[in-house]
Amino acid sequence: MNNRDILFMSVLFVALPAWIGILWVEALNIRGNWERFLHTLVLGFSTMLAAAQIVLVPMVAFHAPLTKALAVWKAVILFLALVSFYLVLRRWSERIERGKPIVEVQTFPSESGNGAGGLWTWIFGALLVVFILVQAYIPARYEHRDDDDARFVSEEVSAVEHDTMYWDDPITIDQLYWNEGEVRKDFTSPWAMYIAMCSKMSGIPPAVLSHTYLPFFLILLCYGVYYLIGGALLKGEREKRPPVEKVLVFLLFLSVIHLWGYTSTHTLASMLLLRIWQGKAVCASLMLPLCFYLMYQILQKEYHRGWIVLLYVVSNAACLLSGIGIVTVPALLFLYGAIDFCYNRSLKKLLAIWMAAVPCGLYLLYYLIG
Amino acid sequence: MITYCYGVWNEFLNFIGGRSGLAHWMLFIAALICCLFLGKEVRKKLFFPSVAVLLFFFNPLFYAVVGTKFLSGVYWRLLWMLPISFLIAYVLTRLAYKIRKNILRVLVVAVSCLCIAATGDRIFTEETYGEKENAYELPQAVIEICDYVKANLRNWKETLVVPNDLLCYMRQYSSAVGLFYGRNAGGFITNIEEEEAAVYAEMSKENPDIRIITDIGKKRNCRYLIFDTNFHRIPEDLTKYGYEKVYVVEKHYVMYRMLEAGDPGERDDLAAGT
Repeated sequence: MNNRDILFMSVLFVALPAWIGILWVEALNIRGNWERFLHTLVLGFSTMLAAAQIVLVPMVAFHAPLTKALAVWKAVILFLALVSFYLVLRRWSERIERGKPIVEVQTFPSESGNGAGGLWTWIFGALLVVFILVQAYIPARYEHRDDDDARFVSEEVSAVEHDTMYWDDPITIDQLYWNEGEVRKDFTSPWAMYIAMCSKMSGIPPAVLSHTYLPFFLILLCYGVYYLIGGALLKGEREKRPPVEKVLVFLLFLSVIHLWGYTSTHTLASMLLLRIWQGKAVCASLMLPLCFYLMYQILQKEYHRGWIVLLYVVSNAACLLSGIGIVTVPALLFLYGAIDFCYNRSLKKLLAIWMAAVPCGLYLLYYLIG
Repeated sequence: MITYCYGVWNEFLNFIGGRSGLAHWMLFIAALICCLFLGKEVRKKLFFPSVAVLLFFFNPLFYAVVGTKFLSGVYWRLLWMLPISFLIAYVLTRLAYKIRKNILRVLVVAVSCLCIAATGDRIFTEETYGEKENAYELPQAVIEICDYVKANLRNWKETLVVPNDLLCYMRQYSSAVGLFYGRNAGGFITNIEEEEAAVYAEMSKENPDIRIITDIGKKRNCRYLIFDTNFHRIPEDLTKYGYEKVYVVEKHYVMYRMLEAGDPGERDDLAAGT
């Protein structure tokens, strides 16, 4: 690891997502510094993935070079970043007009609002930080070899070195034609090209990026989503903000389940801590949990409609990651939508939820007949 | 129908990891049952969605229609739609916070964590993680072989035959190094052709038939052959087969390069590939 690479990764996987995520926290009117930060990070990252999916799939289909796709994706990201910038400026000017400070500083435990900012909150917090950092550090510091990288990382290397996207066979490097070989299923889920774009921008070789840097940043991002899930599940109806101590204990349990969850190579723990740099693992560990979180928000009686808009973003982002995202996200939308309908009897809401599966349906159709 | 039931069951066992995953699975089922009694909101958010996923997953008809046709071999991935670890963690947290005394609650949290750890399998072990050989997290031999090939490129890429233990890693470092066959040689995802299969069969033997490997290698323009002398018993000099020893990596990976017109050991019949 060197400082330049860490800086690049921090921009690509923390600063930029957090900046773009401002769009969502402003739209959803999310309060509390910590909650706002986690939401910007997670929702911004999903937005970047969704934008990449919309750009990459047609460009892969038209055999465009990687640099061209990168230029288009950068333009989309720049536009989103400018919109976020405008929203920040507007918020600041509103606060100045009202005579409030631009940034409201709230200390971490006092946000709980349940008087839990005591000794145990800090002890649980410190313990949790150690647990999460261990989980993020070990995969980055040590080496785990996975045979599936023979396809994914090879595709990334070819893309970066040849400035192509899925043009050649990941084994022989012979030129591929449409619908050939195992690469076919990646046309609709071009996560490898997303990593190739990151590699091209940062100058970090794909194998180094995937095996050393991505685990650290993605595992932290996953725990950001898990924090939000804990908050959504544990927040009482009358509470404005999630009870911090309970969420910390929730995450502590979750960490222990993951650290001792290697009962097979297929469990969430294995995906999260053994091969998080692969699209399917990101789908299982980050995007499906994010989908749970959005549904927990939407299933509430009073909910912000922006959460439903986010379902469209997440369904696109899940498609980028893996073919299993194309299948599981619509299934989740169908199930949760049906359950919500049983409780709330709102046909409009049901249709809005189910319609979010349309992008997945289109990609599936494209895969089947393409 | 019985076949499909067995199919679903095997996918389930595949996912949880057989007996070793049974304890955590039982914990999930217990937590799921607890959700029934934790209020309407919990039932709506956690209980019913989980039950619905389970009903779909364990439905042999669904498996027959969807599982075998569209999710062959990866049907178990549908279980990612179950919030297994979230549900366990949530129920344990709720139960822990039923206890009012702080110290007792902390004790319960600690004991619960110990129970989870004791009934599960540790993920960070020497089996799953090892020391890095380099920043790429690839075998160092791969880096050295690829660097050698890149430094001596005759074309935009070279095709190599490599020992089976390097098959998955060569292409992760450079796109100048193509493989004659990859991990598909083991019947994974795609099948390979007859000549690739013949070379793979020989490379899998301790005493490979060099004639077969070199003849096919020359015919299919595999410029480099790499043998692992810790495993392969081969003659050191392969010039009579049309290949010359050019480089040794880590004392046991030996690289042979195809003799070309003008090379000292090159013979007319070999150059012609006969």
